[in-house]
Amino acid sequence: MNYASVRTCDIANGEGVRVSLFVSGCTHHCKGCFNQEAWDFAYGEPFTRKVEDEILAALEPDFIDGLTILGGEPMEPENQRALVPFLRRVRDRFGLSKTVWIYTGCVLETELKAQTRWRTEVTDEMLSLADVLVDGPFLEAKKDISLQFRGSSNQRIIRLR
Amino acid sequence: MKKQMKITKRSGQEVPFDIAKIENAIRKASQAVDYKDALSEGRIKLIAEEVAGVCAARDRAMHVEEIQDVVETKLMEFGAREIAKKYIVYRYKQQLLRQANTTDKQILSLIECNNEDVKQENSNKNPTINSVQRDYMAGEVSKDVSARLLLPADVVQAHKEGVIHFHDMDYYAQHMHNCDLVNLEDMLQNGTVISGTMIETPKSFSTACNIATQIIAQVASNQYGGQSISLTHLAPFVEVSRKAIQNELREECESAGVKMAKKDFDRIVEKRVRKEIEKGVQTIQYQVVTLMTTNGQAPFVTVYMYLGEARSDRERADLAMIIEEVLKERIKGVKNEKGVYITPAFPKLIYVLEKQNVTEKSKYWYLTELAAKCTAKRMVPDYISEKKMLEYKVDRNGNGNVYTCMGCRSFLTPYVDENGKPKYYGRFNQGVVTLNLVDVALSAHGDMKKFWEIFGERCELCHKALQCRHERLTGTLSDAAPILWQYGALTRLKKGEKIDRYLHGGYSTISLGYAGLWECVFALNGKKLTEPEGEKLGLEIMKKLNEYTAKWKKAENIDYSLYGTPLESTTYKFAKCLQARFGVVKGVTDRNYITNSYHVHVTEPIDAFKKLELEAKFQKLSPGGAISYVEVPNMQNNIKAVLAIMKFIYDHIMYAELNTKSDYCQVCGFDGEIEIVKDEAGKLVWKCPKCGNTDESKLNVARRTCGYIGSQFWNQGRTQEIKERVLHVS
Repeated sequence: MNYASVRTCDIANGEGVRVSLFVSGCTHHCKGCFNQEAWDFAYGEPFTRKVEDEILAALEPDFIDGLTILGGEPMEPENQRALVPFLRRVRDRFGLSKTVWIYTGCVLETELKAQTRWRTEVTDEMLSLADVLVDGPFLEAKKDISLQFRGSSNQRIIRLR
Repeated sequence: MKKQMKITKRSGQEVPFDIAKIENAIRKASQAVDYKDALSEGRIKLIAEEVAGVCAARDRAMHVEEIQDVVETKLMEFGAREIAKKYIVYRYKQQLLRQANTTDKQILSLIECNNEDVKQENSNKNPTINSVQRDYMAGEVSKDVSARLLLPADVVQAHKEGVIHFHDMDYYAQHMHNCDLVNLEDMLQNGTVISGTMIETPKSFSTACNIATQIIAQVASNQYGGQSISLTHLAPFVEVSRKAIQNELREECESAGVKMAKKDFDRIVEKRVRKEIEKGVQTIQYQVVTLMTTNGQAPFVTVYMYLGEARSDRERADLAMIIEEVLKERIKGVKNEKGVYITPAFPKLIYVLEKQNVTEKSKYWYLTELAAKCTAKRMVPDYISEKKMLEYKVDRNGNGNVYTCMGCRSFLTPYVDENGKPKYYGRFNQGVVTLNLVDVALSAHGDMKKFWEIFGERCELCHKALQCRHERLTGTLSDAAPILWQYGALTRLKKGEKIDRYLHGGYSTISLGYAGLWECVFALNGKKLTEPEGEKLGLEIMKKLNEYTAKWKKAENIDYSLYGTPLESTTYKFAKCLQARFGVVKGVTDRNYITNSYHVHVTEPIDAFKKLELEAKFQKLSPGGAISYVEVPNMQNNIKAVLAIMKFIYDHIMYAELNTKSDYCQVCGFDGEIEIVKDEAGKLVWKCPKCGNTDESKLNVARRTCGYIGSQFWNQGRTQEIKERVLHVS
């Protein structure tokens, strides 16, 4: 998996001050996407052990509430497989003291929980490692800049824990 | 599109740049020399165009004097020495003529609202209204008298050249001090006198609030700087009101023949107490913003909220209720002329983060959450960390102290009175003179030895100017400001007594200000304060400044203290002076502002936490006052992040604030961030991103530019600074 960028003081993508990881690769291709260059799976740099370590270090300070994974599409099958081992490391190190938010263009019940191309052998584990899932595609017609942590009003903030 | 440049005339008026005027001046000088030295018409045009080119590159309206300097330089570059000589002599003669009278034109132009400098000098004053103009006229006279008669020539010269800044010269002619902590407790508990009328101890909370605002107005009219009041001093009147309400309700029950259960009785009493608090707090908010003092502005007042000041559990609980109401009232805002709730500039609010409110489990965490919401919506309160302040402000008895700054950021020194008791309310600051550190660095031309030499000379020049300030206050009679000196705001002297004893021994402070540490260090070693070598040199300079204030304090028994100057409009003046003296130096004088105090440059990408942690080291060395800020976007949707920053402040820095955004466009009703753009003349103007409105009279913009919120717009230098601010979280 490649990733586009890591932000260490993010307040726009989840509660509190967060570290956010923007992964590469997305097949949703929503019209009006804010991050089109990250559609390409080859965009950015390889997500290496060193990058993982840097993110773990950035999560350390008390003022950091947790980790947000967005993209790109974290729930692309190959991205799920790359992210699950990393999320296990996050939980091993921090337990539940840090929150994990995942943003996806998929819909939880009809795409991630149902038998679709999105559902892999690690999907359930990945969801169990997260606290919050922000789901649903970005729909330009439902765009609303005043929404909290979301781009369009069809998207939902789902507490998984 | 070719942009239409503007120039600033000597009177302060802005007019379009006219190249023909430059050609004319050169032509006249050329006609005055021998034929062989004269310039051809083509050369004259060429020189004039080069001058125009230099002016265009400056990106702001240049002053006539600056343009004439450029003309001189260009004439020399073109080898027209004789013509340059004539030109210089002509300028000199004109200058003599002008000096015959220095204030007439200034005053006339400000009455006709043509004086751009005055218009944008103070972002809390509206210079088009009569009462403000009267204050400005008095200011012009005071400046004129001070410069010609009261101050030594070298101080005036250095002030004019922007080497130092002699603050508040528009008030210097009078015997006035800067800012203070009002001893509201003494005035309310023991009575006071306002305009010859006896005011007794109030019988209810709302009356106490009413009297407090009258005191604020009186105090503000007798000094030029800010003042602070503590809500703790109002808290005892909640109990006074409660007793009165209990008696009233008891009578009501008796007369109606109703026997009420104690529980119901208490519930009704508390409900009425809440109402009483609400009424009092609204009085303060609305009276303060609508008051116009004799200084032509709302009083610069800070309201201090510190639970730790309460002397009993009852008082603390009542104080918490008042604080809650103040925060709720501020979140609501005040109505503008269209009836829409907007962010008021005053009173400024300060909330102390302390053990009993800083963690989720603490008793008053709900107040801290409310404060976070208020900051996100209205930019205030600002935050003092009890933890850091106890470490920093240790008095002679070895005890740490927590107290508010005077108005915006000036902090008193720790002090105990003759009985060995800590004393803060009733104390004041005598005034400020600021050293332009950037000028020192550039004058040294990269030579460190020379830098410290000039640094020493300039510090002593500031010292001399500060001594003038002190002397100006010496011998002042208590009658000059009865509310301050006779009726308790500061003390209770007799009529005809001198205030001198309060000028020595640490009762009051006097401030050596500094500005542009960022550019100073960069000019010296090419490093930023955010780099290890830059930080090291920056701290060294700060320590040296403290050595000077300590030395003077010891010699004169006056509390000289180092102060991180909020260069409001002066930032533009300093930048212009630096450009005139040293040209455009990359990273140093290439902007129309210089950085306040020790701050990290506004364009430097750095996150909020690193910034606060770094600046805390400098703030510790700025005991006379300083405030750090972080620039943030609209955070109303993420209060948890606001709270994370507040907790970080508690652990790391004594005094800090968050710059949030909440503007309003009266044309289209847009509620968000109004943007800064360049107009066709290349001037920076405010523009609504939704409807494109650029009429400042129909925009409500609030930004923090010093320690206060300004809402009357700013000069070009400060506006550029605001435009270029980077966000420290996003």
